[in-house]
Amino acid sequence: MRVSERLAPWLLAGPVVLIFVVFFAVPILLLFAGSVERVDTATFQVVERFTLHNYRKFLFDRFYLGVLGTTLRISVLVTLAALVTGYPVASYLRRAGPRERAALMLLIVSPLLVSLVIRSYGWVIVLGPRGLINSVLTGLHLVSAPLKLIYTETAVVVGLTHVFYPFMVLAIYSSLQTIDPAVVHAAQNLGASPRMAFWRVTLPLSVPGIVAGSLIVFALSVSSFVTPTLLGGPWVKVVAYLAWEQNLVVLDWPFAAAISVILLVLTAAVMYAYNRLVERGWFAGVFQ
Amino acid sequence: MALRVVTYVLIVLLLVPLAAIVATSFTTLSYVTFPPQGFTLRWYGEALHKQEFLDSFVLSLGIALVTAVLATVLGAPVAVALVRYRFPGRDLVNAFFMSPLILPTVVIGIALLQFYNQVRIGSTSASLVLGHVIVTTPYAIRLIAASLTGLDPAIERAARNLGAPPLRAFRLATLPLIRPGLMAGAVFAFITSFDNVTISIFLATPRMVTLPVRIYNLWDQPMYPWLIAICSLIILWTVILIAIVERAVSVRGLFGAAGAR
Repeated sequence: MRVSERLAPWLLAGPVVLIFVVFFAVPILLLFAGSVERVDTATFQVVERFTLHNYRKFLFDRFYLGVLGTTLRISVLVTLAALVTGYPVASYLRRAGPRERAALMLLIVSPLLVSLVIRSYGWVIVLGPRGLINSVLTGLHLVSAPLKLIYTETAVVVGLTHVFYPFMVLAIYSSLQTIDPAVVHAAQNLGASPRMAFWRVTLPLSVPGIVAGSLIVFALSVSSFVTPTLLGGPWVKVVAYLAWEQNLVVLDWPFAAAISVILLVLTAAVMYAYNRLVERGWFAGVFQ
Repeated sequence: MALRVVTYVLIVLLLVPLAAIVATSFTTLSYVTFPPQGFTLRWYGEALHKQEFLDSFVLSLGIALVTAVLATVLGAPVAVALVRYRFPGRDLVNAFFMSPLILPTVVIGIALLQFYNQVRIGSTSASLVLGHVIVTTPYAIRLIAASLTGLDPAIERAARNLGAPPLRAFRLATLPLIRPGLMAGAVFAFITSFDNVTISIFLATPRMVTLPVRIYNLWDQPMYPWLIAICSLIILWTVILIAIVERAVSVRGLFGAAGAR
């Protein structure tokens, strides 16, 4: 190979790598470095250069741990909701004809092209005290007073499930696509009922898609904060909101940096654990 | 059959919040309620007179256009390097460019804000664009790489053998064939930038507020009908964009990239 051929990829990618190092990698590394500093929040002077103060402050405090708990609970519920509602749609897409599938796909993914903020406002109209659901319920005399739906954890779960739903459907759909229909036919020829063929053959074979979809949805949920603020209001606080508040309201930047690092580690840990479980074939036994 | 019903019900539910916005924007009442009462275009008229929202729209449009161009221009050479060459560190380079999609966006936002302040650049429209470029270039790389993968490198080699210098060979033989990928990358970067809230919230300044952030900032206010009319206009504009894009490049093609996030 000539020297120019070996240099070519670096000539192409090199300048862009440099831009990303300076304006992406360095800021992230500085965030780690900043998270071990301590500032006096009255004077904004750095009082300690290396301390685990910020991490201790988060991890040994009832309030912050409570927020972490809320965030994890919401994320688990969103993942489950997206999985339970996403699987049937993905299965149907697999069976649908090409034209119908294309149209449905477009409908499923197009909300992704509308800003998060607008989708959340839509849910405010649907879930509000004089919103769609409450006017239907009161109209049918099923409830005497409007239910409190908005500014609750439920509203946040609904909103986030809506936002991340397409990712779950696409992930499951792409794993269903790789299953050879002959395998399912074989199971049925050997006497399995359609239901049994689904539980014993199709579902286990689609586990990679379930895992991938859940992983994406969980990771995105844990770090989301626009939808939780808009639909949870001041009552439902999540970790990402704390990071925002510390950074832009309290102006305790090192603490904001530490919360960001915790968020980063949390996301990474979930992905890693999940991956390891799959590699070990842990899920294979679940459906026996 | 049951599966079909379930699917259609769920897909209708997906569209309910957006439909609710459009329906409510025509209400004659001065507060937001469902079902909307009567029909008026009054709130649209009022919305178009909110100067700060018009300014934000122009700002968002400008940032999204510049971001789209930069993401495509930066993404193309990286995609060519990743698809056409096998070199040591290739996997690392690939993982590096995909990492903005894996890291929590809020963390990137905070990191960029703190960084710009530390190096005393502060928040300018350039730092806003740069932030958007970081989160959109990975999509552009992916979409352009996808269009390159299906190409036979022999076409470009033939051009070289016929005496074209490397750049000219690329421009004449490869570029026309990957145009759909470039288009898709640019469009996706444009939409992602135009919609972005999470990065913009950190990099916006009182004098420089993008449209989604302007709307977000009203979160603790009552829902004004004119605000709903603005949201409705943005939905309309997105539908028009999708229609244009669907002709030029397939929207489903775009989501090969989005879905992999």
